[in-house]
Amino acid sequence: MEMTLLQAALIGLFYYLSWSPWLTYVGFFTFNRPLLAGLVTGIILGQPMEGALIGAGINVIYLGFISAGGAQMGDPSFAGYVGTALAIASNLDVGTAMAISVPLGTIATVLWIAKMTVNSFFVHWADREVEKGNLNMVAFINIVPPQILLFVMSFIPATLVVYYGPTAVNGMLSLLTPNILHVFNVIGAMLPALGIAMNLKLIGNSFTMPFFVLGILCSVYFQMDIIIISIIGIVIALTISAVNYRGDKGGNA
Amino acid sequence: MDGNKLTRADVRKSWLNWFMFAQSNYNYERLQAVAFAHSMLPIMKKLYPQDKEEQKQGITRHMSFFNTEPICGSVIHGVTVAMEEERANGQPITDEAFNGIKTGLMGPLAGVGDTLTQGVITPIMLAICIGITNNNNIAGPIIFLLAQFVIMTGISYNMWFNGYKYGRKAVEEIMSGGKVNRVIEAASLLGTMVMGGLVGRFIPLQFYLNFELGGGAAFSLQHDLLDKLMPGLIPLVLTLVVLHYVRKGVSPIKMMGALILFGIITGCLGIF
Repeated sequence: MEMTLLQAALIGLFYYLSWSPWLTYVGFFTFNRPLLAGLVTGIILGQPMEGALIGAGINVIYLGFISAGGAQMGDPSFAGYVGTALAIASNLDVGTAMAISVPLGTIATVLWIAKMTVNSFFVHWADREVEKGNLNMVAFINIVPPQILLFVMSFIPATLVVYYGPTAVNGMLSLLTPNILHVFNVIGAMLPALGIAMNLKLIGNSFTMPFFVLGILCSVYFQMDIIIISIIGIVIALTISAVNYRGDKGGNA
Repeated sequence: MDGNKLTRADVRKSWLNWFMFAQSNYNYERLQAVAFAHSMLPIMKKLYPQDKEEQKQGITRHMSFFNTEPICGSVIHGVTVAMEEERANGQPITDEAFNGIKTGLMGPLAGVGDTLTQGVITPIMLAICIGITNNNNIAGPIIFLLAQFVIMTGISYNMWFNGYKYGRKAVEEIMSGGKVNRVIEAASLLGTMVMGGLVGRFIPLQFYLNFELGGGAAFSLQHDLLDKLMPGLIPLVLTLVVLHYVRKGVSPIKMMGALILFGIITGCLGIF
C-alpha cells in the first residue's frame, strides 16, 4: 500500500512519544513495546488487526527485554513502530517482519547512546542555574532541552525510514526465495532465546532454574497456555515461600 | 527556620514530577540527578517559602548522582521527602545523611525494581497479551496497556506514599526483615517458570534431520528420539548456552550477531 507523509510522520511521532515523559514513566512499559506499537501503527495505516499481529510477532524477540546498566539488545520501540509500518506497507508476513525489525532496533541503539551523552551537558547547565538561584530552571532543564533533543533524534529518523523504507524493502523482497524465508524463520525462532537469557541473568539462579525446565515442559509437552503456566507458577511460588519461611528454617540455595 | 508541614497535595505533586520526568534527562554523567532535584522542587518551595538560600541548598544536595528503578525506587523519594520535612522542622539532618540514605538504597531498590517490573510483571503481561492477540483478538494490546498502567502506577504511588509515611523505618523494615528476599524469591520463581513457558511457545526449533534406514523406514531425530526423551530440549539447550555467554559478559549485540549467524548456517544446512 502507499503511505502518505502524514502517516509516516504520525508513526514517527508515536515513536518519539514512546520514549518521552508525556505518557508518564509507564510509557516505557506500554507504548515502548512492539505489541502496542504494532496496534498504534496498524491504526494509523488503517489495518489495526494486522498491525497488532505483526507487533505481537516482533515483540516475541523482545519478550524478556531488560534495560539495566546500559546493556541492552536494541530498541524494541523502533523495531515495533518502524518494523510494523514497513511490514504493512510491503505486505510482509510476520516471520519476515521479525527478521527486518531486529537490525532496525539494533541500529537505533546508537540514537539512545548519543542522547545519553548529550544529556550530560544539561546537568552542568542545571548546576549553574541552581548556583545562581534560578531554581525553576531545574524543571525547565529537566524537561525542555532533553525533549527537543529526543524529538529531533527520534521523530526524524523514524519518519524518514518509514516513508522511504518500503521502496528498499520491496527491492529486497524480490530476492527472497522460500529457502531464504526458511532461514529468516530459523533466525526469528532463535532470537527470543537472547531476550529470555538476558532476563534469566537477572532472575535465574540454582533455586529457580528447575522451574524453567518445568515451564518448558508445561508449554511443549502439556500444551498449556501462558496464563495457566502463570497460575501454576503463582501456586508453587506461594507454597515454597510459605514453607521456607515458616519458623526460622529457611534453607534454600 | 520555617516550621512548615507538607500537605498530601505537595507530596503528590512531587511524585508526579518524578513519575513523569524520571528518565527525561537520563545521562551518562549523573543519570537521574536532575530528575531527583526536579521532584524535590515543590517540597523545597513549600518547606522554605521565604528562605531562598535554604531552597537553593536543598536543591543542590539533590543534584548528586542518582540512579534507581523509577517505579519501585519511589520509596527512596518518599523517605527523602519525610526527612526534608523533619529537617525543616528543626531536626539536625546533614547533607551526608541524605546522601547516605539515597545512595545506600538506590542500588538494592534498582535490583528489586528491575526484577519485579522488567523481569517478572512485564514479560508475563506481554506473554499473556501476545497469546490473546495471536488468536486474532485486538483486545490483546489494549488489555496490556490498561493492566500495565494500573499495576505500575499503583506500585509507584504506594511506594512513594509509604516511604513518606513511615520514613526510614519503612525501608529498613522492607529491606532487612527478609520480606524483600521473600518477595524477590517468589517473583523470580514465577518469572523463571513463565520464561520456560515462553521458550516452549516462542522458540519452535526442531531438528529436520532424517536418516534413511533402508526398506523405506526413516528415523527422524526430532520425532523418534527427542520428542520421546524431552520435547523442547533444543530451545532449552539453546537458551542455556546463550545464558552462559551472557553471564560471561558477552554483550547482547554481539550475542545477537552470533545467533543470526548460527541461524543462517543451520537454516541453510537444513539442520533446523
